[in-house]
Amino acid sequence: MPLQQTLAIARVNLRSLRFRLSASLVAVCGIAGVVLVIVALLSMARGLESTLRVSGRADRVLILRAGSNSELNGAITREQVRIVADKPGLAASGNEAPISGEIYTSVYLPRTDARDANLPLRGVAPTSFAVRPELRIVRGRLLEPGKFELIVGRRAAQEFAGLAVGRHISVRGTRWEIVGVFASNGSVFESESWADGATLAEAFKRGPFLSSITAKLRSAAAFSEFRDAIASDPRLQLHVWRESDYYAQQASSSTGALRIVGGIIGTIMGLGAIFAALNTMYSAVNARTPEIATLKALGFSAAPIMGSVLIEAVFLSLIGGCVGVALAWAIFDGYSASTLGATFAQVAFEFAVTPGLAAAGVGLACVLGAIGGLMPAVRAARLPVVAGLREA
Amino acid sequence: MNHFKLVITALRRQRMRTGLTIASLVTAFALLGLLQPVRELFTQRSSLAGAGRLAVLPKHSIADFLPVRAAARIRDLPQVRGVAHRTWFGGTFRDPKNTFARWAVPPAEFLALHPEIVLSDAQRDAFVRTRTGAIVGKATAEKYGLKVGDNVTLVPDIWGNKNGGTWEFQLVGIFELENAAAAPVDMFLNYEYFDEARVWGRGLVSYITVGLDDPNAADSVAAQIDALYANSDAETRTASEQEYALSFARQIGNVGLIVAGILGAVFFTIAMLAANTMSQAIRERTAELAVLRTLGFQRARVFVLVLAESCAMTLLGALSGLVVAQLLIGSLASVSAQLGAARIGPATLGWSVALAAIIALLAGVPPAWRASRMRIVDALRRSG
Repeated sequence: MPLQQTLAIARVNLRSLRFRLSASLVAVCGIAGVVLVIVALLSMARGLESTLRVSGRADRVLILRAGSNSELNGAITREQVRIVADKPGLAASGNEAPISGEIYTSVYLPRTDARDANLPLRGVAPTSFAVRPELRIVRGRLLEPGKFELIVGRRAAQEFAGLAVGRHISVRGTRWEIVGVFASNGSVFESESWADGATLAEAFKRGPFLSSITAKLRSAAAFSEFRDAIASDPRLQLHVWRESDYYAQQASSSTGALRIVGGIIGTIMGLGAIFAALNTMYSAVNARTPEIATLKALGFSAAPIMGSVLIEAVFLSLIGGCVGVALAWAIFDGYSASTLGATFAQVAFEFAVTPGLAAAGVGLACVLGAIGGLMPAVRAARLPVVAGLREA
Repeated sequence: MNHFKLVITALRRQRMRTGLTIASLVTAFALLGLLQPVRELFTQRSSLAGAGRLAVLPKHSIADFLPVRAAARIRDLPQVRGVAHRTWFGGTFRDPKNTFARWAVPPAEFLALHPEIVLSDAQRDAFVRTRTGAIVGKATAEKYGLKVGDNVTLVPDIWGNKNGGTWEFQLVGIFELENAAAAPVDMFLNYEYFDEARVWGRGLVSYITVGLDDPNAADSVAAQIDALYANSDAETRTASEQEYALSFARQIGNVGLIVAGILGAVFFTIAMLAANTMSQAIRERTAELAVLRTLGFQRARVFVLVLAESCAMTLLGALSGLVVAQLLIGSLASVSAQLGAARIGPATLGWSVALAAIIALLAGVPPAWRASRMRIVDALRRSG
């Protein structure tokens, strides 16, 4: 019975919405704005996180110097690479171990927005490609060892100016030809440029040191066997990361600040939207004072009257939430951006408005609407019948 | 009864509605006061002119180094008051998550060039004289419970120690920053000891800082330095130290665009809300305004009265919003030390005044116009 009453009143209220169009639009816009901004900020965090997470595989390891947090700070010798290659747990593949010692550095280049930024530059070994089978050339060709050639990631080519196949870039008096563009499942490697390691070391006068070692395990389960073998060898002062753990840790540290900032902005905006919803619903209740009093005189009880006001508030915010999510999806889904990664170089990623985020946005809208509708609903329910009828 | 009293009375008529409208204006201006300074931090193009110090960096990559002997050559240039250098130490302190910056510096030159570092004379002397000495910012010292006299153990990543294993430094000072443009978080280590004991790269530094006699000579000194090393093994890129710090911030992303987008969405909504509230308030008071006209109020006076109401509301909201922003802005430092340097400046105040005026006019002019144009007879009849 109360439910039927609630729905009956709510139906009348919703039908009369068009007579309170401007006030209702304000509430809808307020909620839509909050949802748009919050979903956009979170989709940025989500996009960055997924770029980092797909980069790491459980059956691959990244080996850094002990105490080192990122590839930029490595100092590993070629002798150490040879020792590591003989350890148990690595995948077997022909005559060459699936292990690559790599140089990681960065070069200062103009981005497409004309601002200079750090482009990661990885000096790779011939085995690097076997270690990362997900990498494929989408334009041009692979590197040839011993030549001043570069291949660039798909996203690096978008973010930086002049990284097209056939173009040259000069760094430190050496000229490098871009011979190919590669893709790798949208991972962080697509933000990098790759050169032949030995050529790079010589051109950049880097000395004998490598930055990191990447190797492929026999299986994900072989990790502890391999790690223990490295840890127990006194010639190796190295730390073994499971590649997926390494990038997961980067993902949580680099999206942390974004989430905090999003939280602060979202809280303030959410408060503003609640005020807007409160305002709208209070005036809706005010405008209907005689009607509500009439309903009460007819015998409707307090609960259905409260419920009907709440339903109207949640309905309006539901529309706002859907509009906000739709706008966020239309404007931002797939939008590419780049930021500063753990190695002080650019990491490019795409905003991702996932179904989960969309649901969260609509859910948030409903919560804001319910909060904004609650107090006006209580006021409507408590309205004294006589005073209400007199106003008419 | 003067205008002021009339406006106040009108605003107090529907306290709840006025309060909620002002509250939403407060949130909008609080966001403006919080985000506009952040946006300035990321987008201001600071020119070299007037820069306190220059930073001389390797031209091609932050992973490169400059020879320390370059510092001596730069010191001999005209207009150069002093020269110091910094080398990124990196490493791990207790846990890889503790990411405060650690730099090796030559103590005497470094302190001379950075008068903003506040350190007692005794601690200053100790840093200069102690071969394995280190100083750390107060914020970091408090965070990790460090005291003067403590040993600081750093696990190296880039810089292995000849003696093997970890680096041991002695904490000889805890500094604060004068006119803090940033939180005192960095740790500085004695370069001399660092250079002698590192496994490789002796004589290499990350960048060189240059103090100037005349800040206006910054452009010409920068050009001279870069010319000095053009086409050498160690080509340089000289910028103001502030610009260098900001270049990292800018690489985080197009913060300017994001902030503009958020604020645009917020202010569009708030302007609509305020306009809606005002027109509703005036509609409800049609009869009262008609009475005022009957009493002899001119059309212009009614217009001003209604407009003043919307101005009062906006002004109150804008001012309180900026106060809230001022209270919140300190908390940005907890997100990142760089954001902690954000301050509400003239640009933020200018934007606030402009946006407040626009909202007040958008919300106030249409109902004020209607109120001043109405025919008394109609208005009184309608409310009859």
